[in-house]
Amino acid sequence: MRYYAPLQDQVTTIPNAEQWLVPLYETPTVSENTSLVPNTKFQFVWDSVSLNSIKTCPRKYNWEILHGYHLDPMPSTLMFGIQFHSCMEVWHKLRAQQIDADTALQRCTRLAGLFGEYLTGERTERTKQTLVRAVVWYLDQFRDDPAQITTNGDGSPAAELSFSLPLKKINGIQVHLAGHIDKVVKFLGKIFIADYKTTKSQLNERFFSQFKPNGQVQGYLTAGLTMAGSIPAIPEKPSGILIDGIQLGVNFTRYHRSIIEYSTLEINTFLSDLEQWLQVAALYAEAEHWPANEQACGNYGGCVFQSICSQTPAKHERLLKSNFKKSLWDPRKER
Amino acid sequence: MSETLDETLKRKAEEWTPDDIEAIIAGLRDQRERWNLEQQKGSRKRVTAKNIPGAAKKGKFAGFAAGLKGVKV
Repeated sequence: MRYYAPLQDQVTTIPNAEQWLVPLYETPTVSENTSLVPNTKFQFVWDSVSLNSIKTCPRKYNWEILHGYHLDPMPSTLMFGIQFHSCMEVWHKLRAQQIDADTALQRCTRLAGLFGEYLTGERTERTKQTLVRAVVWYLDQFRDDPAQITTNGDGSPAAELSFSLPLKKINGIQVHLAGHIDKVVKFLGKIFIADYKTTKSQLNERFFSQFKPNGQVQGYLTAGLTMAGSIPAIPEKPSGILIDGIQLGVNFTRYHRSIIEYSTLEINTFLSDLEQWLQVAALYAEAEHWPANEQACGNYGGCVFQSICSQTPAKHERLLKSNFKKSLWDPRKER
Repeated sequence: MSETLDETLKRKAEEWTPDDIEAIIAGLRDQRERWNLEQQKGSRKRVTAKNIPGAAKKGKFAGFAAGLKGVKV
């Protein structure tokens, strides 16, 4: 006899969406970015989103992170990724509660459908249909995954682990590196930090080469190495990052797994580079000036702010307010 | 009579019944199998959800009829 767990999942909000779904700039209730030192523009909690932004273009960082200007309330690439991660998290939690695999799959399928209603469909590879398919095909392929998820002290699976690591003090202020680890797994007798990466590109060498060097991945590994041995989820030093590449087609989904390794020297270099970047960020914040990096305007199909930067600075604020929506990204928010 | 997988997936997920969800999973597995076969043949033929059976078609009065029969739709 088949057993159906009650299908009671109700999706009223997208996880973490409150960071993005804040109403337009006119509303005076835009939530405060708690990663800033009060009454300053100095960020003391950094994540890969804010670091990538300031490294790409300080002016972009000012508009995107400090002011929260975005074209969409939440880009579908980001929303799809968070939704897929959430379905995987639910899968691991259900399996940890001894729910049988078929029932867990049914519940994750329904959850993917409920999440998928929020996808606007402006990207044909990131729709409700492709989300449901990505979840079902993934869980079929990795149902008996040899990469076994580790567990927290309470027996729950080590999925969506939020971390905030104290780095060095800058100008007397303790700076932190924050992030969310998708999951920690034991694979081939070693511990790995695992991450799902969705793309519409092919899962070839070029795709995986983007993860070395990569600030986000090095941040996760730094967190893993720092917490190793001190929390049950990470019993020993991780040997690297296990990337599950997920190629999204309109009518198919393809998966490929790859391990990315970093040496201790590479991680230490990342940390000393990071410290320099944060010193520079402190200088910008002190001067309250974030210079433009014109070399980045054409990256990845063009910066969203290019049309603003091409206008006289006197028009910038008015154009930002009329063409963009405001929603602040806060690295301190847990998932 | 059944819907196509595409039609079932397009229906609001809130309205999916456990039977619908089973049909969706079966349909997606069917799609995967057919797509794998095409890949093995080296073909670039698309396998769309429009050509895969989905959940049983729900008639206009399906809910009413099911109520009379005392079965779940």
